[in-house]
Amino acid sequence: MPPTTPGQDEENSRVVATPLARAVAADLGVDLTTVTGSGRRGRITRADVEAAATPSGVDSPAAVDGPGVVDRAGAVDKAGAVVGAGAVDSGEQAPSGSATLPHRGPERGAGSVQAAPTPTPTPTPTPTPPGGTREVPLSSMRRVVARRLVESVQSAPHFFLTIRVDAEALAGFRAELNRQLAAGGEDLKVSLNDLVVKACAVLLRANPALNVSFGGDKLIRHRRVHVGVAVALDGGLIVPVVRDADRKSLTQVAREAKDLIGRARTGRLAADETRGGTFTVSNLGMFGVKQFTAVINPPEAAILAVGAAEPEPVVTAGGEVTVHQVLRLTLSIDHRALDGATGAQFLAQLKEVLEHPLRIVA
Amino acid sequence: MADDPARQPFDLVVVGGGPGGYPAAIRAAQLGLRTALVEKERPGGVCLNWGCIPTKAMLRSADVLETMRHGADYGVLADNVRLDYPAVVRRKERVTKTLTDGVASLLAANGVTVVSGHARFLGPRTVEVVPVGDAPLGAAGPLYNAPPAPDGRPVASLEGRNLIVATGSTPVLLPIPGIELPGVVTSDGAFLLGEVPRRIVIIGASAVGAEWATMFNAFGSEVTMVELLPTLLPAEDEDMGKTLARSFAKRGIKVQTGRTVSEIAQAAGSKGKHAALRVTITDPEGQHPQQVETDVVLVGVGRRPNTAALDLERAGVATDQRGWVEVDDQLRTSVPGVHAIGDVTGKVLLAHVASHQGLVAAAVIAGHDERMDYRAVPAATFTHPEVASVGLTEAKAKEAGYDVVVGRFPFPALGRAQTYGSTEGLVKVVAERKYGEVLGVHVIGPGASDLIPEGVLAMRLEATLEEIADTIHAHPTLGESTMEATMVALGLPVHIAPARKSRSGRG
Repeated sequence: MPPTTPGQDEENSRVVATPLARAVAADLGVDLTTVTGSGRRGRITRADVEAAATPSGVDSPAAVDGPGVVDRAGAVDKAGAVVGAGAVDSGEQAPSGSATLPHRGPERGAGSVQAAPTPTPTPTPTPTPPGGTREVPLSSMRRVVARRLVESVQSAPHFFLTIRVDAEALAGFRAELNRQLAAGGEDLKVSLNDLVVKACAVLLRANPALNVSFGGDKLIRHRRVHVGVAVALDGGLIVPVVRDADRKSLTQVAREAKDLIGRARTGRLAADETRGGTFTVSNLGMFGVKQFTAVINPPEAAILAVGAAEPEPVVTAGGEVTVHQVLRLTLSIDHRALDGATGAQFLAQLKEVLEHPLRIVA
Repeated sequence: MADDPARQPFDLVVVGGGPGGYPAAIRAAQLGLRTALVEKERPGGVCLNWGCIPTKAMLRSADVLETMRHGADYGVLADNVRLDYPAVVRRKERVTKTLTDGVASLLAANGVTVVSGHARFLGPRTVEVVPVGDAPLGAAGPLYNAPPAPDGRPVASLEGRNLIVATGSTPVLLPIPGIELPGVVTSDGAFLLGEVPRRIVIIGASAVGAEWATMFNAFGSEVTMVELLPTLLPAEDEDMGKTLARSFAKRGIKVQTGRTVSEIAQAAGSKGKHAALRVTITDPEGQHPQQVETDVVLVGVGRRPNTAALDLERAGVATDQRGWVEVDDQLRTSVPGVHAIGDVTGKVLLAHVASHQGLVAAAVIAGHDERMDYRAVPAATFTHPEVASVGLTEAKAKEAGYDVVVGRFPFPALGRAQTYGSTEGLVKVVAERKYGEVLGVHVIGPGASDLIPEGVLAMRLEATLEEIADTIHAHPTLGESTMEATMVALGLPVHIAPARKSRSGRG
């Protein structure tokens, strides 16, 4: 039985939005979990959705359809959620968003928060640096991300292992694969991240030591391999899951990941599509990050942080120094469930597979 | 008395105890504010004493009379069905007294200090209360718009940290030659008619005029309605006015739309207090005059704010050119600490809007961040059939640029309307095509005023057509009509034939 992640139930079902807001959000591709509601008790209204949909910079949903999408959409880790944190400021745009609707009455700007009859005092006073501050209410997604990250770091002793992978062959393999797909009329490009996801899935099947959860007084071994792909969003992140990634073909994994990432960005994931992962791959390579550590997505026991593939000097088997694409992978493991050596062994096998990419599909 | 009522200052002084002022005072008291309320007559204002409630009480008599007259349609035979108008008026008075007494006891139960008299501002924080002068229409008439007694000595001086102006409005008489003649009345004066007029001309076909027309028509008057705009109830969706015009015509009410009254004079050879009047009705350009003889002319158009003798200028409160007190969405006037609610703000002249403004103002004064939202304000007109609506009319929605989809469901197609024996009218839902956002709901027909809350709630909660259509409505009820209308709008009508692209080929 796949583990359930109670936190993600909240992300999806506890969003309070009007039916009209839901309809508009679906149409405009706004993820309701990232929207701050202006109605009573935080209810999200049409005006809030439209305010959130006004361009706020970095990631417009339209980018999802562009070429090389999956690379761009590739995962951002929990730590990487900070990248998306700028999106929390979408709340700032609320009033102007409502102004874009000419037929809306002026009486109620989207930013107008109607307080409940008994206002609750702000719980923790925040230090005020000179120049002043402005309090931006957290979106429900931000709240869930915050709670779950604290839970992860506080409960799981993280242990980190980094390995350097010669990705020259992998890059060549990917290029050739995409050439073949294009020649075959396929509208699909396999990303580096897809290759890593599939490689991890293959290994987790062969070496299920990492496909576990820490269960307090027991270790829970998962029979199936479901790999989560962390996706950065405006205002947070979400981890849709490619189910049975070990049993699916590489192109099938790539196709599913593309679909999941696209829908994650447009807020159209079904609740159960973010549940039940057994391992997560997070990628900040598209930001030029060479190497980073990721926070484990509980109740999983491990997460892989993928850096950017960049040209670096390498020493070939023949002892020559040459320049190859190089990739750094960092594995975080829950030390309650796994030992450092177990993680190291997995990482070494992963390096081996990625450096001989035919083994991904073999 | 733990709390000395004379202790000053109050947290809040409310001037006017109508449907805006008394809820404001009650809510303020509930939120912990020491509150005083100044009122000239029985609490409840025009609504309870001279408007909503007394007309509805009398319209109910009209309704009972109509039902009894049509008893044979239901297999119920009654002879000697007659009207006892003085008894109708006595019943109206019992009803209003019960309700105004109820308000008085609610104010007392909430610890509101009620001061009787006319209030006028001495400054931004102080009003003095003086005795009320004579009622403009005589001892039996309304006191709410009475002037202060000449040389009246102040009976109290009230200081408030906050004040709410809730003095309401008064009907105005149009500047028509002859408007001063006896027999020309406003809705206030209509209550004082001792008998049912044999003939009555009603100027203005908005809610007030249309309700009095319904009532006197049922009571046997010969009723002529004159409305300058092209439809009855011109603020409502066009389908409402047109349907109502058909019903009125069927009942024998003479409706003249797109017409105006240019002159009122005493009829030739008629003298004295009960002299007949001759009303000249023309088109808006003054052409095509027509003369109608009548006993009473009722002017049902226009109101002005009750700010006379209030000395608002001493508080520094800004009013617009016509005297309405200007407020923001938190009901704040130009003077900090002075709020205004209800008709005197000139926003939406409806009792229930005044009440809501009162609750919001009280909350704002108590420190809560409440705001008025006027988008989903229902209105009801108690004609026969009733009319009720919320939101945009079809025309207004199109004007606002929406891609509009409309669903109409006629009451004759509804089981409950047939069993009830009341099948005039329809429900019309106006929505935006793309998302099915409900923009307006318009009902003319049996129980319209009780059907409209579903539309109001739908708009308030941003329900779409699908939510209403997918909500199970009890059968057989009039409420099914709203659901059916949304199904029509969605193109999936169950109880009426689907719309045809072309009607050609139909016999």
